[in-house]
Amino acid sequence: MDDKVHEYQLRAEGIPDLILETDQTPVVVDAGKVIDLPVRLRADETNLVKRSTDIVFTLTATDEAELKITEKAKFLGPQP
Amino acid sequence: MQNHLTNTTALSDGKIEQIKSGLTHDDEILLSLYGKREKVYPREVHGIFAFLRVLAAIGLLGIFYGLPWLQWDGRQSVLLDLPARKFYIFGLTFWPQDFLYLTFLLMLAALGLFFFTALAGRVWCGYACPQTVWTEVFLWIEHMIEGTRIQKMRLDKSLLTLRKFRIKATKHALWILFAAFTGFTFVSYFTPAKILVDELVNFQLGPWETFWIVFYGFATYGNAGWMREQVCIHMCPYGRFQNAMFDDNTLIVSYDEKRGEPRGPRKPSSDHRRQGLGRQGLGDCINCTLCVQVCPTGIDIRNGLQYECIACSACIDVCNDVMDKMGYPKGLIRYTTQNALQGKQTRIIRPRIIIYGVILTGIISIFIYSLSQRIPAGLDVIRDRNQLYRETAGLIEKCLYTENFEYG
Repeated sequence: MDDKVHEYQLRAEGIPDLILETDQTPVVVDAGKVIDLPVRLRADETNLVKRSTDIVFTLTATDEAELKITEKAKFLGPQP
Repeated sequence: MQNHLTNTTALSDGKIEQIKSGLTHDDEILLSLYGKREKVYPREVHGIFAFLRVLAAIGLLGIFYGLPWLQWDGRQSVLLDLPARKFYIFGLTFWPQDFLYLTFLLMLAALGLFFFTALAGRVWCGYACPQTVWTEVFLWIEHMIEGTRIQKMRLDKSLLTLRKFRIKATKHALWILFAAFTGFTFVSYFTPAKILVDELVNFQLGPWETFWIVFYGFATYGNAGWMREQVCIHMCPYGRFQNAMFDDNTLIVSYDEKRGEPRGPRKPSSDHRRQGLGRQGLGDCINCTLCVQVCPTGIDIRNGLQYECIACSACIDVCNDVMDKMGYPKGLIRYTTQNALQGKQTRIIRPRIIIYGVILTGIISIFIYSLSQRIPAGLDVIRDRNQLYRETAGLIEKCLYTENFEYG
């Protein structure tokens, strides 16, 4: 609804103690721009019950809690 | 018959009348298709509906001419920035991917048209259509320069003198000035008005800006100055398919034939109402033809509902004045319905209105809801194709790649 630069926080959930790592913090996106943000997820093997686990990424603007968006993904690991 | 038609171009009006008198009905219809337009000189009208029409015109034109000068958040309130592909509407910024909302808006407009036409006839045509509104402004300018209806007709019939030339030139100069300002205003929805003024003053208008100012200005001048009712009668599809949307409960402007006929002029001594003659004598219509004189499309409302009628209700106002002067009750021409004219009950709430109303309310609700829920950001998650996971000292590391898309 606006035309401003926003700073975002990206989180990933779905596995206990899931850690999200990225080389680029904070995540700042200009109005109308698209960025590519490579991230890595780390999870403890003992927390993986299946080969494929559903996880959810949540992107929240730090300056505006209303501006929040989620996206589903899958965490693939070795057969437990 | 072919001969008749090809000949008429070279014939005087008198000769045409002569030929017409010897024609069959079909010939007459065919001949009328080739007929020259008879200029309509609408007489000025005052009254409650004329007042409402002026009010609507001032409001709508005020919005059109005023919006580009209204600032919002440090920019123009409504600005369609095509090069940047950003569409600012007050506090909202739309991007090309928001075109869905435009679809909503068009659906709303179409359904709104169905709903209001079924309910109240051609209120849009009479009060809000740009063609009507701008024609009124141009007529008002014409009235200021050329005078009353009779004066205008005399002026047009008179030979070209210096005086006539001066009057006509003044009128057209004012029309062109107003039309040019209209074209300028239109373009200022795409290039900010303040920048456009700067460019205009310094002769730095771009080629497209110049084209659209001239084109829009010319269209305004042509449509409101010259074409006028012909746009409504011959070009606009709406007038033609109104039949599909009208029913017997739709509000129409109509002459009360039962009350008015037989029409005719009368002396006070033979006034049926004053003398208590009842229905034997004349009806209430005194055949003053004022309703015809005020009509912007040049029809006689007493002939019944016609597709040319834009329901501007000028004839209602003028007839009410006449009825007042005669001491008769108002409303010989009035807003009514086909059912009411036939002495039946008018039903405002009817299946058609309910269905249109429900769909319209539904779409408005969805539109507002989706607009309020709009999240001006997008997020795509794309998994790294090369490596599914990596085991590091007991921890599973997964390579993911997120694409983060923000718009607004």
